[in-house]
Amino acid sequence: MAITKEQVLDVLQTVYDPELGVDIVNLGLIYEVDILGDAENDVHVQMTLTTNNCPLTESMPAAATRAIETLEGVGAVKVDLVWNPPWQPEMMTPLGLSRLGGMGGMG
Amino acid sequence: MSLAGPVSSTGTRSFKLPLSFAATGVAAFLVLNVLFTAGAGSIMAYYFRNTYLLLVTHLFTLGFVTSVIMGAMYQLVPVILETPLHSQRLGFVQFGVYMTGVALMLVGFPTFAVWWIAVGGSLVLISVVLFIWNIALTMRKAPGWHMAGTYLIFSLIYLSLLVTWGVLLAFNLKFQFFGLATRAELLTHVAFGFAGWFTNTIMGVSYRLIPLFTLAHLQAGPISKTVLILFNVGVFGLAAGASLSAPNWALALALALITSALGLYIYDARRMIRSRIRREIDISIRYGTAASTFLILSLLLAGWLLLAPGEQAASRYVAVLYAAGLGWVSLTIAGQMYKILPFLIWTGRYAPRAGKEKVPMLREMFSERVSRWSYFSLIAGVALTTIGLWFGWVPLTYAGSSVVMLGSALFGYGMWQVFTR
Repeated sequence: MAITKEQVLDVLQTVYDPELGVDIVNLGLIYEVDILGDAENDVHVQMTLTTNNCPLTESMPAAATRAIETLEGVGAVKVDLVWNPPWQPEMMTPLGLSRLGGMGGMG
Repeated sequence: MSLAGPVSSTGTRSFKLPLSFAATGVAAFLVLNVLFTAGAGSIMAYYFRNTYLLLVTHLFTLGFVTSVIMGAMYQLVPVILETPLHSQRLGFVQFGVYMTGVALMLVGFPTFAVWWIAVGGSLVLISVVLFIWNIALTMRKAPGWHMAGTYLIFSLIYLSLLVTWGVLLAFNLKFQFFGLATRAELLTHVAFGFAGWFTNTIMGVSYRLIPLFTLAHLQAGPISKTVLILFNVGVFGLAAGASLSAPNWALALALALITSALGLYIYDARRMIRSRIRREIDISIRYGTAASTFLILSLLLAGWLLLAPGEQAASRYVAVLYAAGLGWVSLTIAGQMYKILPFLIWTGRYAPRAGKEKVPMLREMFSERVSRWSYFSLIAGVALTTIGLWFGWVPLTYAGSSVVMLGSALFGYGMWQVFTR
């Protein structure tokens, strides 16, 4: 059975930024999900982090890879970390934003 | 099956090295607060060549603050500058030499055993050379640069001046090439340490960590350069002025430069925090705010000591050091430890399991209630102790430092929770 992009995004919502307490999908860190081949179900993900010298550069893509590998029937999983375009707060989903307490400082 | 791509831009990092420094630092923080409380009476009597005060001060500066900063720099310089640490092994050798040197010094202070202090100090100096070498070679490999790195270069220069000056003072106890070292030489040592080494490091690291943790829109901007220049001109002026026995008005001028630089820094940090996306003000920012208040207080009190006519009570000098040390430096460090330690433990223990199973968030690794109580007791205790020392009220000093002791025990317990989570 073919794996769908929605399944991949669903499972990636179980991977949290441990500092911010928001999952990587709602943080807007997932740029692209490609399912390659009809039968192979190879998954290729492009993701970023909130800053390019984030201390989680090693652990977040590895966690995303492990999460996708829990999908039944998945083939090869490749997660690439990209910095272009740089992450912007506007990339968060409304849910991600609300979990961080909304835009704007308390002043 | 995994074809996990080029996921690492910074290489594999060992967390044992920063953890070793952090654990030693937390232990030293607990012990020094117990010792301060036990000996508050003798600390208030006089400060010059007070062996008990020297013991507590060096347990604070070397055992606690410098240990934590060195561990944090081993962890953060690779993060800030996106390059792996030059050598983990050299880091562990440095840890061993450093801790041996500090232990010898601490054993030497209570009896003023000159050779223990001098040999211990020399070992600390060797370890500082190793540390700077390791960090400098790491910096050289950095593909990009961040303003925080420039601050850290200044702080490393001051660390080397601080320790060299300290070793000279130690050998002077025997050979007296400065004659009898005076308060002026002591002030130079204090300026190198509290301002040059500690404060440059705190400002530089904050310029990087505040935007990182709060998701601030604004990053370190042009003001950070002005702060760096003003501050370091002021610190160098104060240190050089003191060692050349400059008049008090000249030292006050240097202090005014330092104060204006720190005022600008506080304004800039607030500007970044106000631009944040993350609405919550977490424990680290709370600690930072309280620490800044003590920083301002200590600068005002230092100004008073320089300009007020007549001889000031010895305990007032200790009050300034206490407000700057336990207030500004310790509270900042305590706040950052709530970020750094959970992150180190999480990365070592939980990162390999993330994605497969539910893992804790960093804030779930310690009790919020304990952290809140430790925060309040540390702040209240430092404030009471500073007032007690300034006015020479012995019972208030004992009461205040007992509250600090309680706060540091709660803080230590919080860190223990993180270790054992």
